Amino acid sequence: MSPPAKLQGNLTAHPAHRSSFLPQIGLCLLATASLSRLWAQLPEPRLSVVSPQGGAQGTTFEFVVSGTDLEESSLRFSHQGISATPNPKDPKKFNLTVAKETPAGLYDVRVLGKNGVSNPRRFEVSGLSEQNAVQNATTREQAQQVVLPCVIRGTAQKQQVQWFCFEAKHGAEFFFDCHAAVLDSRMDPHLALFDSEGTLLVQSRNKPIQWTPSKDAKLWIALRDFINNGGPEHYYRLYAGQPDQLPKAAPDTPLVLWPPAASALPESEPNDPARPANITLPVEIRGEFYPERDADSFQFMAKKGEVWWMEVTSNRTGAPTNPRLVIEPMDKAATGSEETAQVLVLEDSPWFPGDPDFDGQHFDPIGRFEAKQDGVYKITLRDLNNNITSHNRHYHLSIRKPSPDFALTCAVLPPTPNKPFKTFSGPLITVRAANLHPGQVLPLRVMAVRRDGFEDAIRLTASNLPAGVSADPCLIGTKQNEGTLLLRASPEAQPWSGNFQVEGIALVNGQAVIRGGRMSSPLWESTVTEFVEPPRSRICSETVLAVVSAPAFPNSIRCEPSSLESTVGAKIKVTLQMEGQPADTPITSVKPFGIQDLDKAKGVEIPAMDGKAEYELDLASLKLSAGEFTIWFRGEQKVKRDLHGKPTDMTLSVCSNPLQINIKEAPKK
Amino acid sequence: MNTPKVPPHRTFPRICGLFPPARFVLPLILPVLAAVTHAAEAEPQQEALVSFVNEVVPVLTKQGCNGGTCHGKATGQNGFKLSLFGFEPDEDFEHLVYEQRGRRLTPSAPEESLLLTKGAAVLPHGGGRQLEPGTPPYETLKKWISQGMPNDITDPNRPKLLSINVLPGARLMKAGESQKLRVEGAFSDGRIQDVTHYASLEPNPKGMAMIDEHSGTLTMGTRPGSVTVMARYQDKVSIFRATLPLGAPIKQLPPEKNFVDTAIFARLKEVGIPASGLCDDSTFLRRVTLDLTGRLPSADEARAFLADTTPDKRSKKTDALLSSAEYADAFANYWSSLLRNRRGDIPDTRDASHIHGNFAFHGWIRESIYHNKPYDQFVRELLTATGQSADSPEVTWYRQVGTTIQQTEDTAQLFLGARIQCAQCHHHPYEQWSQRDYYALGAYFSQVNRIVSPNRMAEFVVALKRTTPEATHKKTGEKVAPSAMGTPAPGLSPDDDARAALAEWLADRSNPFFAKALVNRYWKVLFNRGLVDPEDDMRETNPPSHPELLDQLATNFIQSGYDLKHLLRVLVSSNAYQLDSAPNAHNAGEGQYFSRYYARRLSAEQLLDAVNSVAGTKDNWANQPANTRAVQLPDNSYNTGGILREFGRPDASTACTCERQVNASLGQSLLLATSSQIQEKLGSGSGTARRFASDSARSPEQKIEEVYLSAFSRPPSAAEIETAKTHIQKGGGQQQAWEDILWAVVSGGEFLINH
Repeated sequence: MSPPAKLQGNLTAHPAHRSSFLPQIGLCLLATASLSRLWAQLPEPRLSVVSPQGGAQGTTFEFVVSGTDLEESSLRFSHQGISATPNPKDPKKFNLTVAKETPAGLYDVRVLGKNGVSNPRRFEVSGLSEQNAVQNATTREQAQQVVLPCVIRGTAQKQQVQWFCFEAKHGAEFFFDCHAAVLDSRMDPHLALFDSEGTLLVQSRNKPIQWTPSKDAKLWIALRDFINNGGPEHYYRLYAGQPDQLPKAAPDTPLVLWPPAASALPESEPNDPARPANITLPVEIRGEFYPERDADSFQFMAKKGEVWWMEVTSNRTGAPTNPRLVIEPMDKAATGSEETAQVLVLEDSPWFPGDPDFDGQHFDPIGRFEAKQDGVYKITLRDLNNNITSHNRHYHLSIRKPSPDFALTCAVLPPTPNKPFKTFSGPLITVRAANLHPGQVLPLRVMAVRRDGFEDAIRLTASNLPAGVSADPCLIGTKQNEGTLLLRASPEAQPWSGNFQVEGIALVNGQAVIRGGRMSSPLWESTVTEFVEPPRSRICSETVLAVVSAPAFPNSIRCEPSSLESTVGAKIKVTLQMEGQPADTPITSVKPFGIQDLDKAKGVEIPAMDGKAEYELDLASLKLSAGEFTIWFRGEQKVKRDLHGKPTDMTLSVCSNPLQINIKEAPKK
Repeated sequence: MNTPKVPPHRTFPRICGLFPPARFVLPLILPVLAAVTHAAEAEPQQEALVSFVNEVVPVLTKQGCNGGTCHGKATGQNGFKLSLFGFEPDEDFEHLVYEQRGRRLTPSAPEESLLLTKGAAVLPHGGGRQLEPGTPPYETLKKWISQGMPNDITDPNRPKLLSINVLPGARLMKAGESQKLRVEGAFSDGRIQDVTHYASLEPNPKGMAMIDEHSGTLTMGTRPGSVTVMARYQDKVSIFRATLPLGAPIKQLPPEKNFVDTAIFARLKEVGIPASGLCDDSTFLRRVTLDLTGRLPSADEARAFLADTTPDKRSKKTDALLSSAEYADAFANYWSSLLRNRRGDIPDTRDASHIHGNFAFHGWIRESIYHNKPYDQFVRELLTATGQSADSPEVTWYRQVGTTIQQTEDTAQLFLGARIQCAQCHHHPYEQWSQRDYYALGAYFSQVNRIVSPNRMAEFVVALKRTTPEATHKKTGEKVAPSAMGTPAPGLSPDDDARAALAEWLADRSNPFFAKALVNRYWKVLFNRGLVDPEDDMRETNPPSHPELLDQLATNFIQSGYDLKHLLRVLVSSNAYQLDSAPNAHNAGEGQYFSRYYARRLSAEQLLDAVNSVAGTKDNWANQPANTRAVQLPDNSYNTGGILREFGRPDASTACTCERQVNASLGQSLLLATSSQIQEKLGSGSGTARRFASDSARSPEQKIEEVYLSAFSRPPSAAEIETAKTHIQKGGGQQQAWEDILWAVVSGGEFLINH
């Protein structure tokens, strides 16, 4: 049973540790109630594991959710073909039905309850018969007999190998694919195929295995977590069958933000560095790094001053590649040696690498080429990883006129921001969903990927918001890559849940364009002490917001003025005012957020008595150049709230309206 | 003999001493000396000038002045520094002539020179008396000083040493017999000169023969065997090999089953050392199972093997073992350590958390061995590894072997059998490798770009920088292009992966090092001593005990397509491998010719698994499946204590098998006798002792036989049965009594030794 929510919150680094800490926490609360870090935060549903993690079309089965603060809940699936009715005897169990016509694929499920909406978990629909793994099939002798095709649903057990056996037919290729990471599982699956003699035929980590038997035979599959971890969060769905019996799942490519044209030309040999193939720009080419150390070269004419954007899409599609693009004049002698000739080398162009909210780590080169003179230029494309011949190294080369654009990804900003995994100084990854209480201002972190040199400011807003909820005007400044969107619920806002849309508006080539933002969510809470697992996040199927009935936020912060102009290197001063109901407690540790280098900004207190404080920002120390910026303030307020029928001390994270700062160049003396 | 002429324009070295008077005073003195010399030059009977490079420096080397423990060490000795073994004559000239205000040498009274008074211990000298007045070394130095310290370092007319040769090259000798050695130097002016009195002569192993360095006379001792004398003159080396046969009558040798036996037995005949007989089936089974799979044969396996009467049962067993997963486990364990698959040293840091990469790398090694990946392909994939460790586990090697220096040295040591570490700072004293060779090899790795991935699942990424592959010579600052051990530079562009060119050179069938290094390495795995030993220190001055056999094995290995299982099969199927470890009347002290199987202690992993096997217990290892054996552990993080630490499981910190502790220690004895680890295993509630105590279906004799078969692969003798039975009866057949029996078995020599 979950502990009372009032005793949870930021005390609990990991759900698994909660129960055992309860007595101590209670004592601490009594003894050191003044220590803010021991104050509870508002309960918020967090979904840990759903079971099973998928089902066959046209079936009904029991469905169990586990997590915290899941009281009085219903389920929300991202496809209407999946529905669930609560089990009146057990609030965590449901009767789930997958309609026959529901397409096979991956969907999101969230728990929706009185505390709001939870983070999503994956739910997978298949068109195959499904069966549960037998828990004690942990030796070859006890292997579970399965009939192909099928889906086996199971959970990796710590330091155990799960064995399956099946009858294979001569010449009939079969395929085993263990879905884990795509289901949000913590499992890193390792598959090994053995024959009846115990000979290892093939093995694979986190990739499917394929095999074509040379005779009718009984074969064995051993499945385990790669580092032999296990437990409820290490679940899997093992697809087994002949290739044509299994769904052709579209690869998950969240980093392919502008899918390359399907009509691309196939590369044609010869196109090696000594014999580059002629191309005319713009062009889209698809090719393959094959065989080992393959280098594909193309030559094109360019006039002096022409600008082309070059982009390779390969590693982002899941290929184990690290492409390198080199552009050089065909006649180097005319322009000089290797050192002096115009040689452009394009390598990795990752976005937000290692960021726990949106890890855009990839190895594809993207870059701008400007011809310095009329002439013929040669492009050579190599894969730095291509030292072994294999057929899984496809690429798409796009050479285009500048086509500026942007794409947005957003994530709920927790009170302590999730930080890139660069140091071991202790970032805590928290899993949050967009839950808004009456009177609350909720910050959403919005990250922009800019295309083809697009630099202008992006104004952020939101649509499809319910009555009583609005988005304060914010922007991602010129050349900036992230900003904050502040969602504000009026004190009268009514309970609601549904999809909303984060949007960015910018002038692109003189035209206003609107781009919707995808919601990303970290998958598991973690601390840096968990060295064996990186923080992971993924794009959600839906962008869901819930307005929670209670408790309401009594106060927010009003920043005055809400916009101002200043000059580079100046100091600016704003007034921070407590808004809302008369307050008994101050808002403490109020700090600015929204641009880089604010981490170490000092905190001020807005006292309860007169409800005002002044804040000075030194633009020189923040090294802000001319442009438009949005910052906002956040502090903590301690309140007493009724939780599960008991008055409870809580810390609310209280935010301000945005402050737009337009910094101009300082007048020359 | 040609007489060196005085160069028309003598060039004195750059003056960079710290003491101004030397810099100012010596230029005043030296022209005077030079004038004297010029005056002498006019004389028809002109005395030949002593060559600093060809005579003075070699004298200092021969007398040990510039050795690593004397003035040749990096910090010098008592304020006087010489370059190690005289490989930097210009520095030596500077230190001798100019340093300390030139006080070391006194041309007007050469005998008064500190160099001579100290060297001859006329003045107190920590290194004792190294120069004897009247002897050629002393007189050479004295003459050079009296001539005004002529400097021919940069003299273009100075004859350059091209090679040296020791005469004779090899011979059989008798106990106490002497042989005068002559060292001849070939110079660039065509001269062949006797340089014996300038050459350093060192016997190896010491103690088998005495050498008089002045006369070059070697006198054999009485211990049979081979001794190599290394002659070193300037940067050249050559060897003489003397063999003292035992001369015992060879009445019978085991039949020759393949070319291994032919070579080994021929050599035994030559040196007159009778071989031990062939080992029995029990010994063979236990030995080959331990060597190829790292485990003991089970009692059932032993029973079946002993009962098998087919003549080819040994080769069938070898094939079965080589086909087993345990073969891959054992050799993955071997390579995983050499390829430094280890966790970091700092707990709770990213450095210590390489669990995914380490497991993947170990898995890659194991799978390569399991599927018998050709060795050249294995090395090629390793050296040219790129990408993320999640996709390309072999890049993990570059994580641990992080610097160009480590990559260069590990490559040479692992795949060429050459320890070239010395050549980073100076010419290799025992080899032909120069500093330039060192940096040229390192240049192959100059494009390696190691990236710590922000995504921890990827862990580690190796990419390539787009730069012209080259290395910077540490001493000269010169840019050195990639070339392998003196071969021509292949000419590589920034877009080439230089490592691929290195891999091609390694795997070239004509490569003189690659195949030999591996066959010698595997020979040592099975025979407990390399044909060249240490197995990764193959050099001209450390010659193989059986050079023709090493060549044959290398050729056979290449012809097999670098097939590692084939190589092991050839070695294991030889009667040389199947000799008994028990010595006969003649070969107890023999350790060079493989006249018997050289027994050795079980490795830490083998021992722990063997104890578990006999005790009927298992260990539970973090992040490993249940039933994982110690030999299957992927990295060093499990060496936390007990048998694995005490018996020296390597920490994977180096590319050398010498990191594995093979000696015996008091701690090991105490561990076997008193440790809770052993006691808990023997007293396990699910172990053999408990099982036997509660098993009334089998007789004590049957159980005792089970113990002996599982521990020694042989049935117990009648006396052993009787002794054990008596003890069991005294203990009432209780678990404690069986624990005693098991303890006696696992702590005994027969159990601890692979014999």
